Amino acid sequence: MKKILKFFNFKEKIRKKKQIKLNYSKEHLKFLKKNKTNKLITHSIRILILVAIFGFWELFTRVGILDPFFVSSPSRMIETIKSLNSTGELFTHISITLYETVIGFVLATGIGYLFAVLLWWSEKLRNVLDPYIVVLNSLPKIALGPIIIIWVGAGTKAIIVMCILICVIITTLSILGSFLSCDKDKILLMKSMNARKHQIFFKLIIPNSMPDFISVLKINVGMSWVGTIMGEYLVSKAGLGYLIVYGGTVFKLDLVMTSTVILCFLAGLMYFIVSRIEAHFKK
Amino acid sequence: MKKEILKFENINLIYHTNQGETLALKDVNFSVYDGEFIAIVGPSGCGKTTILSLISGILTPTSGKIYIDGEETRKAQKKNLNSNIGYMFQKDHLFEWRNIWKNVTLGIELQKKKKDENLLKTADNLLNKYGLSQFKNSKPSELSGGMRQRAALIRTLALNPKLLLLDEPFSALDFQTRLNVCDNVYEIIKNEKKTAILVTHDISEAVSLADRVIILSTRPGTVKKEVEIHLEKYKTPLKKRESKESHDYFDEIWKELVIYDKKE
Repeated sequence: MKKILKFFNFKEKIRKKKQIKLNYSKEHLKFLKKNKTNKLITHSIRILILVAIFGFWELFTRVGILDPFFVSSPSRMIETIKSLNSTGELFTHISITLYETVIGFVLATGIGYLFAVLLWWSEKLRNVLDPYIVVLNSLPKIALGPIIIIWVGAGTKAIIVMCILICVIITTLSILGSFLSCDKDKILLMKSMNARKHQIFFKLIIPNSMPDFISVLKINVGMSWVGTIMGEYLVSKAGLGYLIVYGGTVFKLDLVMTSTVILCFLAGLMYFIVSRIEAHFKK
Repeated sequence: MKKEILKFENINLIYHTNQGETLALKDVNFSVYDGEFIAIVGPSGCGKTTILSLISGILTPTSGKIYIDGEETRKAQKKNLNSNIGYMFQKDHLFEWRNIWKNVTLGIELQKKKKDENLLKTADNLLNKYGLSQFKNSKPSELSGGMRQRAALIRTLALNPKLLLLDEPFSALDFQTRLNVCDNVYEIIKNEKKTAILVTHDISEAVSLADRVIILSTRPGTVKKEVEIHLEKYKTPLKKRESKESHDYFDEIWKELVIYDKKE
């Protein structure tokens, strides 16, 4: 816990803020207060929208404007969560989907990055493979579903492979683009100091591409969820994607809605973690 | 007689592209002597930067010979650029993720000489001497434009190069900063007794900094005229700029360039 606190650096931040504030003029403090109020208003409106959506949803289904059979309702979703939780199923489904997504995300980012490194290293390889990468990028990966199932079997492996396929090409393309966009004069500067290729790569290209790498991570958070859920639609026997498909086929809209809301929450959480990593690097 | 640091002997350079071949430089001959500050001016596209690329070894001439410190630069060096050369660009190209000390010692680190106390001491002294020692641990973004260029120059000087190549190093700065940085860079280069070649579009800048100005013709670039500048009595580039004689030099160079413009 201490380590986490240290990572976010809350205490230090508060202390610094207090120290700086002592030196400010009245006008500046007023300006800061206004900024803070604006921020507070934005946050409050955000929360209000969420409360309103769920509130009206509940209200409309209770007074009969909306049919809870088709749209479910917040209270029915809470019931669903409770019943799923009592059997222990909830945790199983969430953990399976989370596991597949995180593994898919990490592997796809890693493989995509390595591939980008290879392509950066060899211009020839880059030129030769260029059309293949473009075609693979535009190919709808879901079309590969049956092939994946036959090759790796209908299970967690297939879902992870689907997740990787969806993220990997775009990772390679974005990272490679970032590598190649490095200022030519900076490379020349390194060369004028007798830098070897690996030195140029590790001391210039990689640190220079860090901001783009973080945005790739952010994109991959979204893409890996798409991959996992698509994979689960195709083959799974458990997981949130499975719950959604199962709920849809037996007309249990409560289950579909509940799983979707949990997915929203998890995706948001993963995005939050990545943006904390970004903030850490930006310091 | 001063020692010859650089010599271009009948240099020709042809660029090959899919559209055809272009003669970029034709029979370029000139020499640079130890401690001299040379400026190369010419119409755009005349091959000024190409000359710097030839000196540093990024390009090899189609024919002719280049001698650095008496030694002919050979194709064998192509992979590694000439280590006697220090480069300074339009932008400072400081690495934002490194602090100033790590930026300045980048070259020492790349050449795996981090244990060489002398080199580290030189870098440290340069920082102290030119007012950057308190910024050692600062990131480049915390420095002003002028300070950044100074740090960039110190990074180049830290490796103790025989020849400095300045590729329009001031053109990205606003006019006021430019005058200041010009003074700074000139002072440092003269103090450290370095030989420097400056490529610029700005005639006033060339006159105010250089001991000799080489005027290139339009493409194919060739040395049309060399103008010796004698403004030694003025100590700084800014004072040289203000002097009456500098206007005469300006006119002399300007006339050459205008002739080419009309011919085009």
